[in-house]
Amino acid sequence: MSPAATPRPDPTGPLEERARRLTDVLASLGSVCVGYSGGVDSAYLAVAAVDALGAPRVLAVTGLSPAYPGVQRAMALKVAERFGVPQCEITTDELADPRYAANPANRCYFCKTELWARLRAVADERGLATVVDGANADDAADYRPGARAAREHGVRSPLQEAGLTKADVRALSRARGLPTWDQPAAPCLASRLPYGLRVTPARLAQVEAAEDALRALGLREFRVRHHGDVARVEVAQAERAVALARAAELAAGIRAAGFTRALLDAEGYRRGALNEGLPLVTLEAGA
Amino acid sequence: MSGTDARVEELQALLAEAGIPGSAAVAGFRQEVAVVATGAAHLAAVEALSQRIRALGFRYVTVDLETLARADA
Repeated sequence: MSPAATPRPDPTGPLEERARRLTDVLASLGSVCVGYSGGVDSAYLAVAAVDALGAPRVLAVTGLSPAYPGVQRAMALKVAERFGVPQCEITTDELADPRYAANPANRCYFCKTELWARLRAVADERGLATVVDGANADDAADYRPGARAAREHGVRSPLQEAGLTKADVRALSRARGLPTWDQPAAPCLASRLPYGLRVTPARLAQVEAAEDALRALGLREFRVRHHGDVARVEVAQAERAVALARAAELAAGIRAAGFTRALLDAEGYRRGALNEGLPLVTLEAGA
Repeated sequence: MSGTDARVEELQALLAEAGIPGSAAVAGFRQEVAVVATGAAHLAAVEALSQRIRALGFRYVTVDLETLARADA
C-alpha cells in the first residue's frame, strides 16, 4: 500500500497503539535501508527497524558532506554500535549541484534528491526492499521541500505512517534507552544560511566551528545563523542566562570561527526562523 | 554595516523613546539584521520592542554580544 493510501492514524490515541503500528509497518516492508543521520527520529527508526525485522534485514546509511555536523556523525556511530544497527557511510555531493549551492528556499529538495538516489542504489546493491526516512507525523505540517524528493524516490516514512509525533518518538526513545531521546533537533548546517546566501564548504565550516564553541560552553539548544560577515545566535529562553553569563566567551568563539561580529537574537531560538516571512525573500542565486 | 541607512536613525529614536541607552546599526546579508549595542540589563526591553523594530524593515532583532559582556555598558 502506498503511503498516500494509508489512513493517517490518530496521533491523540494511545502511544502503545502507534508504536505497534510502527512495528507492523516495518514488518510489512520486509527489509529496509534507513536514511540515518543519528538525529532523534532516524536513530529511533533504525533501532525499531532492527527490533522489528532483525539486523540482517536493516542497513542504516549515513550521508557525509560538509553540511553534516561532526557531532551528529559521532552520535550516529554511537547509537549504531550500542544498539547493533548495521551501518555504512557514503559521501554525498550536493554542493556540486549549482541549484543547491545557490541556496533557494527549496534547497532541501536538491540535497534530498541526491541522497535518496544514492540510498536507492545502496538498497538495490544490498538487496533491501525499501528506503525509509525518519519523517514523523509533525513534519507533515511543516514546509519541507525535501519531502517531495522522498516521494519522488518512493521513500517511505514509517514514523509518519504510524502517526508518531516528535514527542512520541522522544518518549519511545527514552523507554528504549536511546541517548538521542532528549537531543535537540539537528537539521543540516546549510539550514543556518539565509536563503540566497550561497552554500559553500567554508561557510558551513564557520557555522560548525562556532556551534562547537558554544556547545563547549555548555549550551545545548541554539543555532548560529550565518549572515555573511556576522553571526546571529539564537539561544533557547531556558539557556539565555548561561549565554549572558558567558557572553564574552560566546563572542570570542564566534569571532574565532571567522565572523566579524557576534549578535544575540533578542527573540531567542525558534525552529525554522529562516522561513519567517519567506514570501518576502528574493530567491536569486546571490552572494 | 551601514551608517547611512535611514532605518538606523529610526531605530536609534525608538531606543531613546524606550529609554534604552546604546547605539543602533544594521548588519548582515541583505542588511536585514537590526543591531542594538546595549548592556545586559536592557535585553528584555529590546526584546519587548522587537515587533516595532521589525516594523522599521528589519527581519531580525539582535543585541551585540561583546557589548552585552561589558557589565558597565
